[in-house]
Amino acid sequence: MMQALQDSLVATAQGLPVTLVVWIAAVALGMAGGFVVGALRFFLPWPLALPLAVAVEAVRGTPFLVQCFLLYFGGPFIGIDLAPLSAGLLALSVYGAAYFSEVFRAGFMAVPPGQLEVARMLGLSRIQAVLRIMLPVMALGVLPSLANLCVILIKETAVLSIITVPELTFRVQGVGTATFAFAETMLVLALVYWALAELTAWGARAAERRIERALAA
Amino acid sequence: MSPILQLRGLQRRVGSTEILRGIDLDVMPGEVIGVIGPSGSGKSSLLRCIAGLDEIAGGSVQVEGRATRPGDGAIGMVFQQFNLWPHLSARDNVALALRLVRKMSAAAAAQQAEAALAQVGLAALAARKPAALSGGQQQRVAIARSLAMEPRVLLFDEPTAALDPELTTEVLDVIRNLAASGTTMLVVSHEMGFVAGLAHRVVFLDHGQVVQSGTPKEIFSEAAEPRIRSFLQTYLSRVAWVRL
Amino acid sequence: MMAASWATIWISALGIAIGFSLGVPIAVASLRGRAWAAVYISFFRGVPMLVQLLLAYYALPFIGIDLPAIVAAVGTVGLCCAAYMGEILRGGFALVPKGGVEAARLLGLSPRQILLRIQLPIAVQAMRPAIINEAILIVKASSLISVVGILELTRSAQALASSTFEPLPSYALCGAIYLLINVSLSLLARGRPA
Repeated sequence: MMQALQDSLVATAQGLPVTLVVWIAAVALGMAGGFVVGALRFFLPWPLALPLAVAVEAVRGTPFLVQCFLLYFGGPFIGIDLAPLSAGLLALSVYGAAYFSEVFRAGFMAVPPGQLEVARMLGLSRIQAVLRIMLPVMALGVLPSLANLCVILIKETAVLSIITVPELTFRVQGVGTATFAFAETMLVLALVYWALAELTAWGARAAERRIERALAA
Repeated sequence: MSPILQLRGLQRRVGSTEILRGIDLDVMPGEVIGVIGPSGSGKSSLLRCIAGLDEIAGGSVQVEGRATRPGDGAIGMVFQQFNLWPHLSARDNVALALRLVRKMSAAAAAQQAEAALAQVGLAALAARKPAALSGGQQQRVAIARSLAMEPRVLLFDEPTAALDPELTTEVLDVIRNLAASGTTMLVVSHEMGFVAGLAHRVVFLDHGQVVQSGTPKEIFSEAAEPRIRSFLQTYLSRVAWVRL
Repeated sequence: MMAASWATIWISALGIAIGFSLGVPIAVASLRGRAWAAVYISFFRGVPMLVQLLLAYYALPFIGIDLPAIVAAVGTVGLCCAAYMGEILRGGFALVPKGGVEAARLLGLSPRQILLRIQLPIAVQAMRPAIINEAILIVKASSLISVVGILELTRSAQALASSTFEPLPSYALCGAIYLLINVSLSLLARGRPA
């Protein structure tokens, strides 16, 4: 058992950085992409926004695993031939962007319309109005949802193991199949993710308090 | 005849504040007691303590010589905010306790519920949900709901305070009919004219104590106590037309 | 693949039913501040579903619990769903007007009756969108049980893709079926007026 535990910890040390890198990259890309999509869906007239809406619903309505398979196994057939890591990163970013876009779109809709009208009357351009007025107003309201999505994305990275991305689950599962010490290895895996999720949630709460104080000042 | 409701030295404390400072009261069967007083005098607390919803710090509440617990059927209460259950129709609001507590069959409970609703004039609206009823209608359903359980004493905590003026009449009429049929009631209300014309006895409460209790005439027109007079100044015009 | 779709549907339905039934006591315990509820919710929301499934399928036999794959899978999905349902219902219970509970208490209803007849219906009605959303998430999560060998929609798509060497149409069709199920569920959230 000790050997298995030791191997698990080594595997964790190998896989965790990959998990974290993929996660952070996907969060960054997903949030940026999601913000743009959310803003476009909010500001564009509905005929133009429709294709975006359909795309978002399609990504949100299908399992992430199926999207990974589609990209990794089906991609080469339409010229997208990616290594597991790149494919995984792209898939997670797209998945994240769809969800982030919904959060931001709701944030936009929650801003009292009067605020935008005032900005326009004063001569601010659309972009200025979005960044200077809407964003601060939205910030505190969307924060819990954004934090929640970050936790969800960290959990989805586990699915990437199925398309052989060498992240945490892949590595530790590998130790399990090699040593047959499934109980220990799976338990270690569960505990690591649990700790990650709790840490992220704690960090989000701290960030929320910081922003609350900054806005109140 | 012995009192149906007896309060002895009733005390209630919240933190370091004394809300009720020793209330004594005897209520005879069929009596209607009006409870009036300034905001914060403890009127609502008094009713809630009698009902058992708020904890008593000292003293006793007895109905027909026995202590009561909320839900044993001795005391019924009608709240300022009606407190109807939004997901049930008027009929089901009235029938639910009959079915679950009195263990009546669905059919028998529905029948009794409809009778109670007819008593408050809402037989035609039995199938409606609270959201589809006016405030006055909702309060009448709430009264029917308490009535259906046949309590010994019925408490009214500011029954019309949350209603638009034109809706208060229908509720006051129902309460008047109940009084006429001999229901024992305690009514906390700001509707001074109503209290003056309906109550057998009026109790004036201030800072958690009974300042004076007597007939409406004694309280409304003959009270010497300056606190009562200054309180009534605001309401005198509404009492003036009532023949005491 | 059609037959496997039905497997996905009934497995998801079972998982949601288990999740909802267990979610009620968890929500109640959570509101009362019971530590076990907080730990339960934290664990099942913090650990990825995939890892939970692997844990149930591979690790349980080592401590003596040998379950058929389908039972372990559905059980895990149900237990995980219960954590989310517990949180949702907890939010719903907070929206039940206190006065309504007081009135029920005064009329003589027992705490259990108040919970099931007054608090739960109001909470469910208030949180219906969130509950439907959770149902959709469960349907998607069910795709992961393909990993422990259960023949459901994703597994059958995998089989089709590898036997025909046509992954694109196989997974596209698979995705479309999931989409159909989930869109139907979300219409359920909007279709019925309160």
